[in-house]
Order: sequence, then C-alpha cells, then structure tokens
Amino acid sequence: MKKLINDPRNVVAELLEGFVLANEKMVYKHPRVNAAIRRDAPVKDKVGIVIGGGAGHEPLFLEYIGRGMADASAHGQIFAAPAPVIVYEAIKAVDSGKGVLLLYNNYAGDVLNFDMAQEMAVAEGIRVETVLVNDEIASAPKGKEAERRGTTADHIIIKIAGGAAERKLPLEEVVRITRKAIAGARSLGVALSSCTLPATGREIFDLPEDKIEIGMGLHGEPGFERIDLLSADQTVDRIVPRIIEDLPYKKGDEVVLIVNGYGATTRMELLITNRRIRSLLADIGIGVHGTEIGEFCTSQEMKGLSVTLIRLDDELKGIYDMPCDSAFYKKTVF
Amino acid sequence: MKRLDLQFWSQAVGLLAGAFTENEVRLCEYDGAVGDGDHGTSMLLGFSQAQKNMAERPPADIGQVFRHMGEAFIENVGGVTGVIVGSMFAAIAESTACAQELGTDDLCRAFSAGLSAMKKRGKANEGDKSMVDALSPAVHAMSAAAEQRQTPDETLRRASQAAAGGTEATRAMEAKVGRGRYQKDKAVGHVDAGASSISLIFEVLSRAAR
Repeated sequence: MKKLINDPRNVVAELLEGFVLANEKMVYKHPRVNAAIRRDAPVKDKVGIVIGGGAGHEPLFLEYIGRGMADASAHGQIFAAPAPVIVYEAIKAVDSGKGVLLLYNNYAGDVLNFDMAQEMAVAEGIRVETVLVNDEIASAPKGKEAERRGTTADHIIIKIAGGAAERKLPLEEVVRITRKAIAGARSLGVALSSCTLPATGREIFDLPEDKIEIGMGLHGEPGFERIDLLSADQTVDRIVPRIIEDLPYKKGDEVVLIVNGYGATTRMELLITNRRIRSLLADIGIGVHGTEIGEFCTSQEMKGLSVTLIRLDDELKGIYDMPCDSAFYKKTVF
Repeated sequence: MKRLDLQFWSQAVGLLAGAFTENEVRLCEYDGAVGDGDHGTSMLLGFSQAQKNMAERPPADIGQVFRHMGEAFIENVGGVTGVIVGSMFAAIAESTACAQELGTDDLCRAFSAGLSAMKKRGKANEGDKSMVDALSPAVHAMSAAAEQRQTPDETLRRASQAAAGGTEATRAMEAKVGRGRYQKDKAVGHVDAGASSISLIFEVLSRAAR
C-alpha cells in the first residue's frame, strides 16, 4: 500500500480537520465528535438535512455541506458507519424546530446507527424522518429494491433534499420530494481494481489484472459478472442497458446523468465513456437535462466508474436547477 | 473457583482488552473473507475504550462495569459491531444494575437480556450467520446449567463451550444479515467473525472464573 497518511487510526479525524481548515467560513467541526456542521446552522425555519456514513468515499459526504445542500455530515471510520452519538449531535446542531431529515445510504451498519440516533433525538422531542438511498441495482434483484445499497445517486439526491429544504418546505414535503427522486434513480458500476484500507494496508478483494467486475460494490461486495477487460464502449454496453431496463427509463424521460470515477480513474476515461452513454440514451429517446462528470462517490484508490440516471419531472428539475454552494458542489444561476 | 464479584468483572475488562489485542489480526482475517476486514480492530477499540472509561469513572457496582462497556462500543466504535455489541452490554448492564456479585441465575438473566437486545437491534435470528449464533447457544447452555443448579464458574465453562460450538457451526451457513449477505454462498466455509468474538468473550470469562 502506498498512501500519504499518518497513523492509520487518525485518518478520519485528520481528513475532517483538513477539510474544515479549507472551508472555515462554511463549516466547523463539532467539538466532541467527527461531524462537520454548516456554520450558520440551525438555519431559521429550515428543515435540517443530516447526511453521513463511513469515511473513505470523499468527496461524499463531508463536502456536500452548504447552502441548498446538507447541514451536517456525520462520519464513521473508514467504510464503517458513524456511531449513534455522532449522528445525534449532528441532529441537535441543525434542528431549527422544523425537524431534521436523515439522508443516507442503505447499509446495515448505517441503518443501525442512524436509527439509534433517531430514537435518541425523538426522545428529546425533535422531529426526525429517515430517507434511505438505494440506487445500486447489482445489490439486490428487481422487486427487492428495499434491500439495495446506496451509492453515487447521493451526489444529486443530497442536492434535491437540500434544495427542497432551502425553499423552506415542511419536513413531510422534503421527505416526499427526496423519495420521489430516489425512486427514479438507478446506478451500476464496473471495478477495474481493488482498493486498500488504510488500517490493514491490504486489498479488500482480488481482481486479476485482465479482469473487470460489473456491479462490484464500493466495499468489494460482489457484482453481476466478472469478465475480461473490455473497451470503454463495450463496457458501457454492459452497464447502461441494465440500468435503463431496471426502472425502466422510457422514451421522453428526462434524466440527470452522473458518470462517477471510483478514485483512480482518469477524467479522460470518464469523458470517453460519456459519449457512448449519450448515444445509447439518444437511441431510446431519453433526454439528458444535466450531466455530472467527476469523482463523487469514491472507494479509496479503486479503479473503475459508475453510471447513474435520475429521472426528473418538472418539480425535480426546478430544484436541480436551483443554485447551491457547498465545498465540493456549487451551482450558480445567472 | 472465583466469586463473580465487582472485582472479577472489573478485571475482566482488562482481560478482554488483552485477549482482543492478541486476536485482532485473526478476527480481521475472518471478517476479510466476507467483509472489509476491520472487525478485530473494532472489537479491540471497544474494549480499550471501556478500560479508559473504567479508569476515569471507577464502577461502584457490576451494572456500571457493563455500562462502561456498552457506552464504549456504542459511542466509540460505530459500524455494525459497535451498536450490536454495545446494545448487548447495555442490556446486561440494566439486568445487573446495583449488583455486587452474580450467581448462576443472575448470569443467566443478564446474558439472556443481552441476547434479546442483540436480536432486536440487529434484526438477526439463529442461523443468519452472526453473533447471535454464538450467544444463543451460550445462553441456552447457561439456562440448562441453572436448572441443574451448577456453580457460576461451571456455568461460564459450559457457555464458553456452547459459544465455540455455535461459532464453528456458522462455517456452513450462508450469511443473511450484515454486509456478508451480499457475498451469498461465498461466505460458506468461513466462520463468522462476530460469532468468533462472542466466543472469545466467553472463553476469557470462563478462564478467569476458574
């Protein structure tokens, strides 16, 4: 393993410290726990949005805090859910009295810890709702969507929830809109190599040099199939039709397209991939309202990429187009 | 045979931290077969933090010893391990509140409460390839020992044996809960890391009680 780190036990605290130093005007670190919080939280009359999960997937979740985005991010150790107390402190720090939305990915550890935090906050009279992101289609078959894991859709789902909250909509409306966006979100990726964990220094799965795995999870969870390395276009042909068929996305649908690098994929590869994705979508007549290309949901130095489609209706389009300002994701409107 | 008094349980925390230091790598390897390989580190973190809690706030009764362990896991460990093990210790703490010594019946009640909390929090049952598969046979063995009016040390010995057997039985199971469930049959052939940890806890307690 080659990583520029210090004591592996301190990576999360140190990355949080570095992030806060770079964004001092926007966020602060909670004095006792590994949570980053919007400096002006709680924002008057606004529903608070708390995101979070295991660390090691930067820029998620940390760098999505800001105006029109999330209010706080609760961080666990690398690939491990945050302890309940971290989430609980984040909830308390952002509640304006209008309630708090917990928005995170559907993993067993996250659900356990966030649920416990929700119970603690509700016991103190804070209104808390939970919405789980479950866009990854290789993690459970169609019909068992509730068992699916959440991945790159976060990049836009957080913006949708944050935008709805920024409009000062009540908690139940923020929940409804966020759920609608998730219901139309599907992702699938391909892994070209494993990642290593700072604590153990070992690769978390074996993937031979000439093989790729379609649907491999962010933490080495097995995917649909392990096949020989293909060209960019051939790889897209293995991924995108599965995504389209799963929802299914139909002629006339409008989507946000996300092409996400897992950590060690060049932007060149992402852009090459994007052409073929667009041609497959055009063949069916699916319109692309917005495209997001870059590293959003990473898995350390894993090589590979994922493709996400999120269907937008007029309401979601309006929120997607709103300006927002977080450390990582900014949108300006002229 | 030792009395299972406040001193016994206070010392047990240090013994557990020592045992998980020795077994950290082995438990991480078990976890690495189906998960991301950090289970041993999480367990060690929990018991090390519990030791610190004990030093900062010396316990006045056995319930407080378990409360320190519960808080350490729930507040400091995170992941699945932190909440599940922490919930077990928190339930045991409630059951042993104010106690200065545990007899066989007290042990039985306490760990039975721990098992219920673990199953409820983890939404796991026997046969799902989880910690429950070690703790459940241990609790059954304790109940049987209690009916036969066995001594506390003999009760812990039988619990330890049952937990080890239960752990071994996870080898043939498909994982139905946690991250291991995504590995489906790939997990078959490996013992569950969480069950191994529960087994190790009983092994340490049983040895200390002799």
